[in-house]
Amino acid sequence: MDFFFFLTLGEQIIFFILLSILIVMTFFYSYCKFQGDENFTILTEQTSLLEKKILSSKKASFIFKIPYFNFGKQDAIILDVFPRILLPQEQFGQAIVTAKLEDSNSRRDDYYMEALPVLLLEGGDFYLTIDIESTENNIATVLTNMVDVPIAFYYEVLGRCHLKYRKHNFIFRDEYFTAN
Amino acid sequence: MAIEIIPIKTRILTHKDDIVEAIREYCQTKTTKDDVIAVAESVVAITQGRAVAPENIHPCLLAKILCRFFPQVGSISTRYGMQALIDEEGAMRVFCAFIVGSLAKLIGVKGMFYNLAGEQARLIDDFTGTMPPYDKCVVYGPKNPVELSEKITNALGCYGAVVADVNDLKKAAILGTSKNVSDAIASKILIDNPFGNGSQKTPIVIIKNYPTIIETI
Repeated sequence: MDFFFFLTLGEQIIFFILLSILIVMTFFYSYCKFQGDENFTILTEQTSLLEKKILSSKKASFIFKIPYFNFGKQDAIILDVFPRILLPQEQFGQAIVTAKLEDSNSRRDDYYMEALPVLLLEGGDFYLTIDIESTENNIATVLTNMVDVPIAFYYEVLGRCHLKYRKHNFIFRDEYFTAN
Repeated sequence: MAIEIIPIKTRILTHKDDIVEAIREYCQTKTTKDDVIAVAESVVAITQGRAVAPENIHPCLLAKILCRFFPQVGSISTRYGMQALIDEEGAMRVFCAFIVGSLAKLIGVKGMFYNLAGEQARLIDDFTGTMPPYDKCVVYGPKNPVELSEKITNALGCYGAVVADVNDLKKAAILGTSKNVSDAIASKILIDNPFGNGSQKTPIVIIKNYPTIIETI
């Protein structure tokens, strides 16, 4: 503290201003750290088959229930979420595979995802519809030959911090489609 | 006497619509000279182009800090909602309101921030607050609600018009009325939230026989 008394009055004032700014910044930083943010997670490991429909000799539809949960310290708002099937024709040419994601409480036909509030330590379910349309064979044959279907979920989530864009990968093993 | 309020179903009104023309289109044949038209503030704001996607809002440091001090039930608890407020009311006003509001809260006076930070503090709706496709936007409060109420009255030849912010928590804020209509009475009439801004798509209501209602209230 001795050095303080060697400072001029002007230098002491500047020192106090800088110290005050540092204290305020530390307070805000600690407060924000303590307050935390959302931690929205899609629980793909808990995916379960809800419904399997053979729509025609060429087309089958699978509806999966995928839970989600906000493990964070703050509420989350999901502004958008959509699935992307990552199964190219080069890898599996027997069928076209498409996907649609809906919230279980707000099912829609138009592929629109309404902004979804997810309160802290609460969750819900997405319904993922995977349609498989055969390009050549009967759908039963296609399902027998089915391969793993990689899928990416892209979502836009907002908590206390900035808007975040995240990607979550999952692989639907062929058993999901060949079973039953 | 029972108050008759008729909700009017509309298409989704967007920034491409003129709210006066839209009201004329949907209400002209159902309105008499004794009726008052009430319109929901969020729809007025949307038609005025006051819905902004978060990607187009650039939160400053003040917004990033201040939003942290508001509970998440409010629209300014996100940095985008707070920045919207700062854009409308000014950083200095919002900052001073925050300081005074915080001190007032310490001595047990609540709501001071909202009284000082300008009317947009109560009017901004953030995400999920409005119908799709505006559920992904911050929607500011409407501009010139009094002037708009007069325009609607003149365009339809009705008794009057009201722009209101009503919610299901029995709160009806009247943002603007034409000169024949009383704020207090309009608030009483609309307290049960006859609007359906969501999938019901009834953002306009007609209050029938307003002069008769005044006599009975």
